[in-house]
Amino acid sequence: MAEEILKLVEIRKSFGDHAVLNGVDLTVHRQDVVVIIGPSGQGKSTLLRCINLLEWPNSGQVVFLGKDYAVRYPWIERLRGRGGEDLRYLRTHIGMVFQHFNLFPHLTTLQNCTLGLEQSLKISRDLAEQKAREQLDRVGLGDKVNAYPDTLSGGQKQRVAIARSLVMEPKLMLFDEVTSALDPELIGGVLAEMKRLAEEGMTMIVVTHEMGFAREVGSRLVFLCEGQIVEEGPCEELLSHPQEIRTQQFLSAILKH
Amino acid sequence: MGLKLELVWNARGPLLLGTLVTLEVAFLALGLALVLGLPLAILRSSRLKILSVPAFLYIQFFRGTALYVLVLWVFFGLAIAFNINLPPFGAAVLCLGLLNSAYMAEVYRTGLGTVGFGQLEAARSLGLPEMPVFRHVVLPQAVRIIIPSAANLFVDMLKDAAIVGVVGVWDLMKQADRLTKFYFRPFEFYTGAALVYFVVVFFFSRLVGVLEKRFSRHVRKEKV
Repeated sequence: MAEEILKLVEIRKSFGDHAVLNGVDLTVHRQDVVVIIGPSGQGKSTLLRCINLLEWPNSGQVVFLGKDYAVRYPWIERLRGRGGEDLRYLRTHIGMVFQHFNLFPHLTTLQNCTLGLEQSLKISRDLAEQKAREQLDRVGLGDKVNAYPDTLSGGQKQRVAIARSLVMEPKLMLFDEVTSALDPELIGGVLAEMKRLAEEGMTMIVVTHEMGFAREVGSRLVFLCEGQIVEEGPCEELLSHPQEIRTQQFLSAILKH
Repeated sequence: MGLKLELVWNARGPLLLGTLVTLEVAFLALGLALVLGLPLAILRSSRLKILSVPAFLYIQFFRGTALYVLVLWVFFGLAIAFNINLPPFGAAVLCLGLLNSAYMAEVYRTGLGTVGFGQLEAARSLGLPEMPVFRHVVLPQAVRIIIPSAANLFVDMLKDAAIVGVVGVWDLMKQADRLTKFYFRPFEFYTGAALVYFVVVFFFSRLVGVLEKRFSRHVRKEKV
């Protein structure tokens, strides 16, 4: 069995009275491509955001490379900087790509990619720029290093966002519906990029509605509904023979068109 | 009758001196407002009531206070009631700066509010601690929005600084006043003062234009 990268234990999260995650357990091994599907508003994004602690779960463990990071230190410890270093470690080793790109509009694509290297990893500007150029080259945007995000197409923006995460050399990549805001003809390029990553052995958790991608690239499919994992298993199997009635309903609804 | 504009030219020395004092008061007060305004804006936006309420009260207090009253109150009032004697220049800068820090806080708050939550999340997801997130992601984007309003505020401050003469600061207006009374030529000297204000504001606006361009490089020009 490959090394365990991430283990979520009993993750619970609610916003006010609204319980979004009701005890989610998930284990991800090296080179897994876990595809999370499910109806809208059922906790898929929140789950991803709990992994790099953009949201703090109300309870449960986020174990990354053997260490639980969802630990709230007392405020006095936090004032002394305890926890900050942990958080920085967790986030620099987990990349995240968002539905709406969230590129920094005031920075060029190159600067978008160097910001994390320089500010989080304290890498010198020269080296950071070199790494960023390499990464932008790989996503096919080597000629756009000095362009501002506003001048790029949606697909290009998303590929810059992917490069911005990859340049940090993460151990795990989170993709949050990264093709949902793209025009249909631009989706292919972004999916191809993700497929390439998976083939290179990147460990990924992908929230998506692209069933073709799930079937082709995903190693495991997770169906999340009402804040719980209803069903999970190998992609092909789960897509063709879902056991749970809610999974069947969901799949038949989205596979109709 | 006729106009005696040469009188103004002949009095250019004191007028220039007054202009410099006006600029000094306005710029120092601007500095104070810029420095105080930012933490005020951040406190005001805090979710913690213990932080946001005092900032809110501060802002309401200074926004609701007339500069004229404040200057007299600080300079004469504090001196007589509490024996706190501020030099006229210091009192003028302090009043103008404190009062406008309240406005500046609101300008900052508006600017900071325009930076979307997704920007914060993206920066945090790269592992940036909160200070660099603010410095490298939030502030540069907010500044573009802040500059025009802050420039407006400064122009107001510059012109409002005309009242600091009441506590004995020899600013442009007080010099013009003195010369008017000496020669009894109000039209000429007040016109002169007005012109100086106009010229200063004009050049300042040009400077702001350059700054705005500098911070808007990433914004695509709209084709009209």
